[in-house]
Amino acid sequence: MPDPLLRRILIVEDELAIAIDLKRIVAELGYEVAGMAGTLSRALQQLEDPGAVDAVLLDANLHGESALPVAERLKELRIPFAITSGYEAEELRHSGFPRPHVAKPYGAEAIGSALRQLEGRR
Amino acid sequence: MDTVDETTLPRIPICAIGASAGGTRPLREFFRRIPTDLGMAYVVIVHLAPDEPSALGEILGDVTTMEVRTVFDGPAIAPDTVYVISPDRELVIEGNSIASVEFREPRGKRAPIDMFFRSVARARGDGLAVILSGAGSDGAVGVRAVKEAGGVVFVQDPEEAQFAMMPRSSIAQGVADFVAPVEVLADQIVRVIRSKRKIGEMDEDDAEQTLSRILGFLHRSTGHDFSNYKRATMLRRVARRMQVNQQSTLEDYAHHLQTNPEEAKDLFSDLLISVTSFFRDPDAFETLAETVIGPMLDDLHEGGFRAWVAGCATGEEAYSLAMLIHEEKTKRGLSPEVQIFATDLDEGALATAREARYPASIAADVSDERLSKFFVSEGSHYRISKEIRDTVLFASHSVLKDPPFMRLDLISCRNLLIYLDRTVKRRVGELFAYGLRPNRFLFLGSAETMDSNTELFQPLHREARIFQLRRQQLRRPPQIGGFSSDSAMSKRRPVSGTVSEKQTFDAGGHHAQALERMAPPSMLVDRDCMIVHMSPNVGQYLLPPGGPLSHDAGDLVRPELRLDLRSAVRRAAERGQTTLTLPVGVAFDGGQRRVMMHVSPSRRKESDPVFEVLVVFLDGGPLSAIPTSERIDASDGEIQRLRNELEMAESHLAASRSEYETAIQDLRVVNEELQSMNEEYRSTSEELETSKEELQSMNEELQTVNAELKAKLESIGAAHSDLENLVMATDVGTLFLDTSLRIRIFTPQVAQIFRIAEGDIGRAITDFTHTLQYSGLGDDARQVLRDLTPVERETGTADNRRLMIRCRPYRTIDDRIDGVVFTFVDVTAQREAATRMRESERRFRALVDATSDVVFRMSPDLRDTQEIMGRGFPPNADAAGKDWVEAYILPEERESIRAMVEAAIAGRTPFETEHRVRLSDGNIGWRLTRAIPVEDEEGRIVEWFGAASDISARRRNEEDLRAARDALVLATRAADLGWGTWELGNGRADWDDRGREMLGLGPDDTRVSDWFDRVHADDRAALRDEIEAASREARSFDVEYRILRQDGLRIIHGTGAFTAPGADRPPRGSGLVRDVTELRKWEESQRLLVGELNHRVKNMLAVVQSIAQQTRLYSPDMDRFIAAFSARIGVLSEAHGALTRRNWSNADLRDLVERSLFSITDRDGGQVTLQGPHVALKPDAAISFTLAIHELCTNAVKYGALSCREGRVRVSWVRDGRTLKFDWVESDGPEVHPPTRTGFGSLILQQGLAYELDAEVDVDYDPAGLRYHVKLELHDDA
Repeated sequence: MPDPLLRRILIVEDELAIAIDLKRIVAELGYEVAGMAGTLSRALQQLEDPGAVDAVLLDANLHGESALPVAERLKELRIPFAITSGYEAEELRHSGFPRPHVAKPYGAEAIGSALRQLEGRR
Repeated sequence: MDTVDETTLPRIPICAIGASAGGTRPLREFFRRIPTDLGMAYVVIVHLAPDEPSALGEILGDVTTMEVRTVFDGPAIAPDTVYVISPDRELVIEGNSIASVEFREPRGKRAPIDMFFRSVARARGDGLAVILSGAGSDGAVGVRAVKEAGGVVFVQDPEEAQFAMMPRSSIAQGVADFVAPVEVLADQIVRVIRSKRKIGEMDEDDAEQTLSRILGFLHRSTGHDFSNYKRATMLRRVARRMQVNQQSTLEDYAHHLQTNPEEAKDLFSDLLISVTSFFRDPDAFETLAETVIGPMLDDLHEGGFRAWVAGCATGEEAYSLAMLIHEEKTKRGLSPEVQIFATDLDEGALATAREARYPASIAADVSDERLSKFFVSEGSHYRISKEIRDTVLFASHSVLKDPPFMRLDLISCRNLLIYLDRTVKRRVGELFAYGLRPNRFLFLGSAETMDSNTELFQPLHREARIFQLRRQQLRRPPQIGGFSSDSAMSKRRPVSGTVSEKQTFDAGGHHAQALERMAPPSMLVDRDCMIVHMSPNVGQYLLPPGGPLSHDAGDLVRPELRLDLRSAVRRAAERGQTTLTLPVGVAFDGGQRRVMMHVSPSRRKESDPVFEVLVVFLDGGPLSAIPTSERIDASDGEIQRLRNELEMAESHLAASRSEYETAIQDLRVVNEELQSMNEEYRSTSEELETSKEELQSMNEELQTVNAELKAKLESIGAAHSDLENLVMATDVGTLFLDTSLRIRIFTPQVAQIFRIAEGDIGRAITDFTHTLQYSGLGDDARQVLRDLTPVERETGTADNRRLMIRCRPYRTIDDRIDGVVFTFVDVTAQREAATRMRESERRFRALVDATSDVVFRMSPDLRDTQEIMGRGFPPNADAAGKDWVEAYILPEERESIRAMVEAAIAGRTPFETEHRVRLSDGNIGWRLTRAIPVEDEEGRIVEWFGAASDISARRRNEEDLRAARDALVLATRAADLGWGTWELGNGRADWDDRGREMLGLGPDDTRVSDWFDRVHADDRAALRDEIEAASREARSFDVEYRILRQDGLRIIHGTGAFTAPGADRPPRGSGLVRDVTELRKWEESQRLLVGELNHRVKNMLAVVQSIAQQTRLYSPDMDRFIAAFSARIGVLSEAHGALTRRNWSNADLRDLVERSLFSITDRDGGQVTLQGPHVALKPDAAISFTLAIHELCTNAVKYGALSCREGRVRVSWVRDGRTLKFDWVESDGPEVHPPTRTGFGSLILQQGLAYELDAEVDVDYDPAGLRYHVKLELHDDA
């Protein structure tokens, strides 16, 4: 069972199809989906109430824009997050994103392992 | 002296105060101290700037309670008032008021202080003049005028004054009465004014007597007698002295005078004060110049021009006269000798005159022209030029006492006579007449005449007071020094005669008269025997001699009495003894009578040293009235004998007396003769003087001649020594022989040839041995003497010298042949030089033969070949003298060659060029031609000397090389490569243009280090190491590095190789560079593109994965899943296709709508209408829209308007700025029911656009037809 302290997961993903599927995976993994955001502004909006989010799955690229501002904000809020992206790990690090990454396309195992990794970080 | 303006108004004394620089302080001090009730009017004259207001009035108003007025117009003079000059005006006294008038003089020459002081002197006679601190000399002339008019002069002590010049100038005039600090001056003024007031109350009659006493005392103490001077003048001057000495009565002053010896001197000099100025009465001077001086200069006697200025004072008049004479002289171009005697009694004034230095204020009287001509400016003073000064001789001299100057042409005696009374004036007139030459002139002052001497002078010009001596005048020496005080007085006051006659009741007078009638005849003579007075009856004793009338009693009495009278008068005069002379027989008309004379000194007063002598004639009865017989009665023989003896003695005496008289007469004659002899001697003396001058001039001439001769002698001496030196200096032996070939002169060089010495002169030259290798000299000489043509010969000597012997005839100045001259010139050096030159020329020839070059000489215009030496140029060079350009140069090059030729000629520079020539075989060859100009001494080109070399082979090689190089360059250029060579040993690097361009090198960057410097710092060390290693190891290298160029960072790829060093050459490298910047950039973007593609593919796979998962969730079976999944993947593929067509930048909304719609429905079915503009959507929006429209289409076909034929779908969109409004409206289809459960399709429809694009989505399941509205903000500029 997941850590009760890390229950509410925010999904930041611009593709609705992927977001919906991720929501199903997260739910099947036993977490609670705190919300879904398809754009940069929506994502930052969701974080206005930091207490409602325990961890974030963050797409590195939102409609061609870097999600770095969200990552920065999360660091400030000390909310753990994992990057989900089609980019290679090398490129992501080069663009300034920290680990862990979940490489697209991904299955439920990859998400589960990433979330557990976040738990360990707390 | 000028006449004094008499006014009836009460005269207020004026105190004129002159001040200038540094004057304000003393002025304040002065007015602070001066009492305000003195009854004086104070006039303050200062130098003010003409155009600025003056505050002096207020300044003085602060220190005195008296009224202070600045004078603008003529206020009446009021007592105890201070008048201050106003700017740019000068003040004068007019009547009883002060007038302010315009300056008459230009700025710089103005002397307002002088002007006012003179005005005061003129208008008031007396007054007080005060001079305070100031620079310059203004006031100096004025104080003299004031003093002369009877005023008192006060001067601030120069020690105290801030500027001492003005006080000093006034003191230098010698007229200052008081020199003291200002406060003391003020006190003095108070005292002077008080005593002046008392003097004013003085009784005139009493004054007269006391004045006589004062003058008498002055006469005794100074020797100068002023009793003949006008009383009024004397009184005024004495009164002035009284003021100065603060003596209130004449008696007091007389006492003061007698007890203070100094005062006598001061009084004397004060009495002499006279005002004079340059060209006083200018009109008179002008007339004088025109009517007197001019004509006189035209008619001048031998003695030159002699003038006498009597009473010259400080000399201005004398100098004025000198200037006039000089001007007239110059105008006439004459230079007669001019002598002006200027005399005065006043030694002080004479000293001033002699110094010839006058205050600058004289500029008012002297014209600019004269100032510049006759004066030298010395700042505040002018000095008379030496020329004028030298013509005037100053002497202390009394007109009345001393003998006059003689043989004069002009006497100027101005303003002296007015001081003298009429009698004296008359005598002075006589004296002047005596001194003047006949018809010459007298020049008097403006108020003076010669009316008393009309028989001597006639007026020539009344206005100018010029008088001419009459022609028939009596040349009689006038009496000089005869003006005794007493006699003059007695004449002026004839007490004895007329007065007593009226007083008939006076018994004493009657008694005297009676006595005179009864008394024996008598006469009163002075000490010199001159008759002063005679009794009426004395006439019988007088017998005047012939000749001019004399006053001398010794001459006038009868001859028998003369001797006794003279001796008796002398006794009386010298010893004061009374004499009764022995009776002398005197022959009267009525017969002989015995006459005795009683001669006694007669003093007027006991104390008086001056006395006269009374001579009383006593008649002793007729000589014959005493008969001899009557006297014998009481006598005896003895008496008779004595009587006889006495008679004898008397007759002897009479005889000797007559002899004496005769002797006297003779003596007179002798005296006359002596005088005439004296005259002769004098004239002889003058002649001698003239002879002496002639002798002197002759002497002068002789001295001149002597000097000339001396100079000639010196020049001959110099010429001789020049000749000597010439002979010694030239190395030419010269030998002079006479016609017999005997030696006359020879130079030292000859002694080296012939064994001759000095002593051998005169011996035949043929007798001597010589060192010549030639022995025909004698024959040569004889041949020359015969033919008179020179002979030249060259010969050697025993000591191996070469001599040029030249033999020429010796011609004297008068063209006579008097021998021969041999010259021996040593030509050894020339001969040797000639030999060396031949040698040199031979060598040069050989050199020319040996060289392959052609050597030539050309004409100055570098056109015609004059001489050609050597071979090979050009093969057909037979044409010396032809124009070589025409002959050999190709037609197309002639122009440029000629231009070069001209430039070389113009610049006198060497001509050098490589050019082509046409060879005789028709081929073209190359030549290098060099020519150097040969210039003469004036720098003109005489000829050109040059050489031409055949350079055809070299040129061919060069051309081949150039072609090879050109090909290489072309190849590298085609490959866009740069090319370079390097040598690390000397650091040189050569790059072609492209290489430089690539590496960013300038034309001067020829060093390897310049290349390295351009390389990016991070790459530089690696490049350098690699290049150095390659050079060291003589291997190839392949490098890539960045170059920092002005247009940015470039990436250069270079390859090259170094050769191994040879024995004589260092390792050299060569290689190519290529700019690979663009290539590398393309590679980079390629790499990025691949990465991006990878990401998209992965992303798309994730989407596909999600769609598959979702589709599976809502698909009841596999077939349905496959269909739905395939359709969705197909739509995605369509969207990707649309995006790919636009290079993945955007997709057109209309395109997307059409593709989705017309993949499922017929375009021409008429069921669907599309309306809206082209709108570019970004890839994400395009995909989201595509999925949404796909779901709408699928839904419409399954359940909506497109499920039946009647249904219609209207798709429309509008764009308003960034806002896109999209409407999907279905109608006429089957009734719409909202979906009962949410599938993936409706999720996408309802949330897709909202989630992914933040769009506002409204799905309205209206039973009449589905309505779908989207409102979207576009975030790009598409």
